[in-house]
Amino acid sequence: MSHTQTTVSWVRNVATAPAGYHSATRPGLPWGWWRANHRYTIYMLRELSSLFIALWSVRFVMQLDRMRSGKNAYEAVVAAQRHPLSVLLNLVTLLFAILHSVTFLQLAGTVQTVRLGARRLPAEHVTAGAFAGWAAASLMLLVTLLCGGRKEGTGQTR
Amino acid sequence: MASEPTITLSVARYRPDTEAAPSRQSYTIPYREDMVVLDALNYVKSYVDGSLSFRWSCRMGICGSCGMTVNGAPTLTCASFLRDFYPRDVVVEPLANFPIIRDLVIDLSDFMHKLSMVQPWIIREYEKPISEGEYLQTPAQVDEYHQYSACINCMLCYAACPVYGMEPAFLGPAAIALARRYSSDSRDQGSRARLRVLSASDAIWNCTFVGECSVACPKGVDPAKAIQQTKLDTTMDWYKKLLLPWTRR
Repeated sequence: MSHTQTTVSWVRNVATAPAGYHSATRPGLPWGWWRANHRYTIYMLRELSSLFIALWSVRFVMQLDRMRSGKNAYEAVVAAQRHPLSVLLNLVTLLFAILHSVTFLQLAGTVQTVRLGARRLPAEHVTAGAFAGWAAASLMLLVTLLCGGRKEGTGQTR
Repeated sequence: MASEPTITLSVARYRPDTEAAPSRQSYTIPYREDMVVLDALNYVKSYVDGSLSFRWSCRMGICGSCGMTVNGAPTLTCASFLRDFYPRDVVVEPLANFPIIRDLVIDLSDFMHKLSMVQPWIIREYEKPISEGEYLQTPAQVDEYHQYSACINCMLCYAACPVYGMEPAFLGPAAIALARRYSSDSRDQGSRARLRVLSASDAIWNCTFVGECSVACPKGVDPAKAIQQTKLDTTMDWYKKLLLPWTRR
């Protein structure tokens, strides 16, 4: 049996204790705490996703505003969208949006209690329903975007 | 004769009367496969260094006293076997996010204050006479709060919560889960009073759903669920007051 002593650096905010009281030392979160396990890391990525989604949304609204000026402005926006940096931003934002949506919908079964008569639906069924609704809404949006709108140059709807 | 197997514990020490900051001390002790981390600490206390301080009581995961950080994870030391770490060293530190009183002993005053704020007991506006009998509940009514009643106040959820680490004013997972436990009880009539505490800025809305509190809980309580459900309830309550103001009490 043996023992040795070393100094540790994981504590900050060492304060002077009031007379007759214990120390007010309170460990702080160390830098890089989110790398301690993968759940913390996914949480931080989810928080970071808000930044990219906000950036993308502001840019999108600004482009919509610019497009009101006419055909030339519209074509300039389309050209800007095709720029490699723009494609990269869209791709990264899409990945973050999927991460955010998946983690949000995984919550559905946890948060929402759904009853059918006296029976409570299992959380997995509620979550599966939320994912099915997400898929259906995405499909409807995709169909609308691909099949809707006007034919170029004819002024007719497709 | 083969030498006796040993294991090394690296234990956080802090003696505020003689030290300005915590340090770490290593103890090499005999290893047995059936030893838990708490047994190892008790061995050190009994045979190596009697000055080591830590809390413990029941040794069976009921009292919630022996929560510590073991190899970086908030853990009940009475339920953490050395064989899961052997032959590596075992690092034992006090629970994160709490002030340290001495060595592995943390200050629970903040939690005790917050716990009393949510009034974790059954509140009745009126009591029916004993002659009318017990307050009966159906299995479905018990099911509404049963998992939250398993909380043993071990504080592992607070140690796992980075929001509490950054915002000490945060009401925290266990206090909110226990508020949910009593507000979900069909015998209780105090949910409105608790909601005032829960819907304050330092309570449920401080939670950004890391979810680690539910992972850390040794009793299978899901504080993250309690917090998100309470968020949903308070939101519905707000909309109800806005759209149906005549229902306001």
